[in-house]
Amino acid sequence: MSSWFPAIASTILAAFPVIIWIEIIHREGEEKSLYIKTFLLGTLAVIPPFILIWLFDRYPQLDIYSEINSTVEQIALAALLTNIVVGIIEELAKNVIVRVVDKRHPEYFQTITSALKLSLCAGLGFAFAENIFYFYNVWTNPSFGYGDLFSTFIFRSLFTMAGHMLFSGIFGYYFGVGKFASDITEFARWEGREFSFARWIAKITGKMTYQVVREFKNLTGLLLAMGLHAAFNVSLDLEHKLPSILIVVFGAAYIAYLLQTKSGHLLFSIGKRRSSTMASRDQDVVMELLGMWTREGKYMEVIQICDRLLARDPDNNVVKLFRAKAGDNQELKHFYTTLKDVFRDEEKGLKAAGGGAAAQTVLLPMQDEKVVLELMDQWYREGKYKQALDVANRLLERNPNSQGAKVLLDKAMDREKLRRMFDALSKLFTD
Amino acid sequence: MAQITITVEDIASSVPDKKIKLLKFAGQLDESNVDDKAKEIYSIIDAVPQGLFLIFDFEKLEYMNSKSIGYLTDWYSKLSEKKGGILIANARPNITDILQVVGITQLVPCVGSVDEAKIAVMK
Repeated sequence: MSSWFPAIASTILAAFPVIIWIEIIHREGEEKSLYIKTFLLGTLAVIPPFILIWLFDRYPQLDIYSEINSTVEQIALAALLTNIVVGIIEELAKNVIVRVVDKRHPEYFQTITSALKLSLCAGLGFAFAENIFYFYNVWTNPSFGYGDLFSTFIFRSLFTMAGHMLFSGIFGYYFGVGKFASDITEFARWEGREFSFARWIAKITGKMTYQVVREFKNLTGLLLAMGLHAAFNVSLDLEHKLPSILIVVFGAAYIAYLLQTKSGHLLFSIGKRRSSTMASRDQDVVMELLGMWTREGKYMEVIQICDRLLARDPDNNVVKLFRAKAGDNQELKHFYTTLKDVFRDEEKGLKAAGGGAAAQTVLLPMQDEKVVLELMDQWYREGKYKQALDVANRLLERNPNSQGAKVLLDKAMDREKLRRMFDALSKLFTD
Repeated sequence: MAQITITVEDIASSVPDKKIKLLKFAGQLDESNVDDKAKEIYSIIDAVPQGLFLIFDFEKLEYMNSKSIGYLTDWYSKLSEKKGGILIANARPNITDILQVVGITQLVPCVGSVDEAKIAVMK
């Protein structure tokens, strides 16, 4: 068999999950080529770590990994230190790719979500390139069989790829927030946040507060990504799979949440902005009021004012942010209110039943049912199948003909079964 | 500290269940004085159990901050509960502009003169 065959086959194997992941990331109306380009650039992020490995091989005195292993006796500590180094190197490499794409094509990064998604693709590119080497090694090593190749393929395509994507994605989110730090800082200032530390640093360094906030955000994202990456690797190295699985599951839920926020999808006006038709001092009064009412939870009023103000000042990103955040908060508020109503009504029903009277089922209005279904759907997508199941059952008690509840109940039941099976398996591995 | 004076006058009402007061604002309503002045207005509102209409003459009001707009909506809510209301008269263009963007003009009518406001209340 040609020596190229395993390499080509490993590349094809590694490419399969990429196609699926890109389909998951891509939404209708978005340019898929952006994702593919960033993915391809992301594959280059493996070069710096490989150069380092080559350097360590050639100049053993530089090899930090063997230095750690020879000086640190405790296995867990050695694994931690090694993986902190791995986390730093790999995340920095992916980070550079995201920054290069932004530098060359700032037009790709017009929303926080686009920064997040492009970072996911950079992470995917890295994981793809890394997977080729892993698959190739397993394939060509005579001590491994096809079963090993299959299990490596499944684990790395699902968890390792997802892990790399979410570490990069978290950085991407903070990078996006940092990119629009000027508007976001102003928005936060109107909301009443002080940024005392950032202001102090800005004073010392002679920078603008928002520039310091931007650097803080980038650093926060990078440190989070590195920390999670290190924790994920340590968990795998010490053969405790459950923590790594939990990191991926919770990380994915967090990314899914970030991807659907209105503020994340907000299209920031960049370049030349149209001027406001309202006097600056008067507009400041309105902005102050927006901040005040946001703090007081008057989200509907905030949305209405923002709509009127945007008619006067259409490119004002701060007003757009107020509107988007109010929309997000309003939805959350609605969810909680509706849920509270469901529980309260259920309690009433139980009391009525306990009192001997025939409990009358009060149908949940269609509007409220829609809200509950949306929440269930969100929980389902976040992997909170048990909560989705509980609510589906309660909703069906109230609205027995709810088709949406029936569909979600079935889907959540299937997933919950799978999750339990998976938990049992991972427990088996851990034990 | 910005200066603000509010003078209060009773206006004779031809409608028996409507009580009308004219409040003339002069100066600037800002962070330094708005809380104190708001208390005075709350006490006026609390003193009348039903059907109180306040006409705010903003002819000499140069500036109002966000907090005063917040109070304005609260006074409106309190008076509406008691079958009363607020009317704004003579507001300067910049203040009308703010009130329009904030949406207060949809709740509180803004008219060109105190006389117009009186007619509107007594309808």
